Amino acid sequence: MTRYILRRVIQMIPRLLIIYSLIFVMTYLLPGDPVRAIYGEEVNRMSPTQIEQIKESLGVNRPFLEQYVSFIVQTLRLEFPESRVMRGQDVGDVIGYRLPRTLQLMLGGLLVALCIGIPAGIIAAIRQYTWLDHTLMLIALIGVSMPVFWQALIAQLFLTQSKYGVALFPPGGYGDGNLHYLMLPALVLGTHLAASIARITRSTMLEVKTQDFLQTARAKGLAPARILLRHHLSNALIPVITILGLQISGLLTGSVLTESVFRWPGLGQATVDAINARDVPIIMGLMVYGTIIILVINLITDVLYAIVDPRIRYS
Amino acid sequence: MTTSATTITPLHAAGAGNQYSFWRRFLRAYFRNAIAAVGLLIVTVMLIAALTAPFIAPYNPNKTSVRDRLQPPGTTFFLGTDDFGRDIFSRLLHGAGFSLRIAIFAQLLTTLIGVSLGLISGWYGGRVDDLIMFLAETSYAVPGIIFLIIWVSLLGLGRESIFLALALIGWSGDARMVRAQVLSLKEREYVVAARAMGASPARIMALHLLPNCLAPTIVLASLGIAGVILAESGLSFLGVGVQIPDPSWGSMIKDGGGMLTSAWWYSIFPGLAIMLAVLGFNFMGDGLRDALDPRQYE
Repeated sequence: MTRYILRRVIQMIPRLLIIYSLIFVMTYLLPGDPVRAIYGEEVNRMSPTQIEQIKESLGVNRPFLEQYVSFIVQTLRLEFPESRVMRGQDVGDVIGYRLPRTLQLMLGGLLVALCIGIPAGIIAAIRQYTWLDHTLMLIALIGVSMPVFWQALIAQLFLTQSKYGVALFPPGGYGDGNLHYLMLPALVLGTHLAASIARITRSTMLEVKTQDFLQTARAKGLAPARILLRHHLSNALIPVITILGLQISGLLTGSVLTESVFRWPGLGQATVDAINARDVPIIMGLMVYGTIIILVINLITDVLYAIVDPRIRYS
Repeated sequence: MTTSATTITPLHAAGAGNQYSFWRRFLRAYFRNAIAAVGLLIVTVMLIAALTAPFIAPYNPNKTSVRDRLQPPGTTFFLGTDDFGRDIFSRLLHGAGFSLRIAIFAQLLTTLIGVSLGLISGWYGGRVDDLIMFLAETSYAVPGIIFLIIWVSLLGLGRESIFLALALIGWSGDARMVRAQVLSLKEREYVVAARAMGASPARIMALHLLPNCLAPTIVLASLGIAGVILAESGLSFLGVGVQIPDPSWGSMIKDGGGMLTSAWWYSIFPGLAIMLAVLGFNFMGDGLRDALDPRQYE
C-alpha cells in the first residue's frame, strides 16, 4: 500500500508539469497591459521610463523561456510568487486565506448532500418502479438540471428577505466564521450535489440487489434491516465513494459559482478577481494548487476504496 | 423501462424481416418511456425556437427603451423587460441559439476527440494506450472552472475558442468508455476474422468497432450537451472576459441577480430556460440509455 501511494505521488509530477506549462503559455498570452491592470488610470501620468522600470521589476520583459524556467524553479523551491496587484501578498497568503473557506463550503455541502442523497437513493431503490421511486428520481433529475447559481438566487429570494419569503438567513458574506452564514450556501451546494448522489446510490443499490449473497442472507433468515444495512448498503456504497472522488472537480465548480452569489470569500472569488486584475502569479498559483488538491483528493478516495472494499488490492 | 406485459419474441423470429430490427425495437422502447418522449419534445421545441428566433421573437432583443424599463410580465411584454427596457422573452429566444450552438458544437468536438483517442488507445494498446490514458487522467484532474475562466478571459466568450476549451476538459469520459468497449470487442471472432483477412486497422475501427460503440456514445453525448449548457451558463454568469452584446442566458441571470426583490422575473425566467433545456437533454439521455440497453430485450 505504501509503495502504491508513493508511485501515485510520483506519477503526479509529469501531470502537474503538463498542466503547469499549459497554464503558463495561456497566461503568457493573456491580452492587455499588465502595468495598466495594476496601476489603472495612474499609468497615464507615468513617464515611459517609469513604465519600463515597473515592467522590469515585474519580469514581464524577460524572454518567454526564462520566465517559464524561473516559475518552475520557484515552485520547486516552494517559493510563492508575490501578487502583482495586492502589494505584500503572495500566492501562499491568498490560498492560505481562501482555501479553508472554500473547503468549509465544500465540506458543508458534502455533508448536506450525503444526508439527503443517500437516504433518497436507498428509498428509491427499495421501492423501485413505484410512484415514490419515480417522484424522487424526477426531483433528482430536476435538481441536476438546475444551474447551481440560479438555485442560489432562488434561495436568496425566498430565505433571506421578507418581501417574498422569510428572512431566515443572512443574504451573504462570511460573518467572521459564524456558522449561520455558512448554512444557506452549504444547503444550496448540498441539495445540488444530493441530486446526483441520489441517482448514483439508487443505481448501485439496484445492481447489488440481484447478487447471490443477498439471497443467501435472506435465506439464512436475517432481519431485513440487517440485510439492508450490513449486506446491501455497505456493498452499494463502495462505488459511490469513487464517484464522489471524481465529482470533486464538479463540487469545486459548484462552490465557485455559489461563492459568487453569496459573496463567500473563497477560491472562486479570488480567481475571478485575479483574472480581472491580470494577476498572473496568483492565477498560476490557484491553478497549480487547485490541481494538486484534486489529485490528492483522488488519491485519498482510491485508498479509501481499497480500505472499505477488501476485494481491491493495490500492489 | 416499465414493461411487464411484453410478449417474448422467439430468437429465430428476431432476424426475420424488418419488423424486429434493432432500430425499430429501439424506437418502440424509447417512446414507451414517457419521460424520454417529453425530453425529445423539449429539445425539439428548443431547437425550433432557437432556429426561428429572428422570425418569432415579438421584439428586437437588443432594442432599449427607457420608458419600458423593468416592466413586470403582462400582456405587452410576455415575460417582462429588463433594466434597459428590452423584452426578456425575445432575449431568451435569441439566447437559445447562442447557448445551444455552443453546447452542440462543443459536444461534437468532445465526442470526436474522445472517440478517436479511445479507439486508438484500445486498439493499439502498449505505449500509445499508456500515453492516452495518462492524458485522460491529467485532463480529469484539471480544476475545470478555473481553467475555463482563464481560457475565456484569454480568448473571449462566444468565440469558437470555448468549444475547444470545453472539449479539452471533457473528452476523457468518451475515451475511457470507447477504450473499454474496444478492449472487449477486439477478441471477438468477427474482428479476429477481419484481421486475418488483412483488413487495415482504420477499416476495422470504422466498420467493426465504431458501430458497436455508437449506443453508449450517443447516451454520453446527450448527457454531455446538458453538462455543457450548464458550464457555459456558469461562465456567462461569472461574467469574466470579453463581454458580448448578444443575449446569453447566464449573463441575463447575472444582470438580474442584483434586482431580485425589485424585478424577480429578470433572472428567474432565464434560469427556467436553462433548466428546461438541460432537463430536455437529460431526459433524452436517460431515455436513450434505457432504450439502447441490450438487457431491455432479454
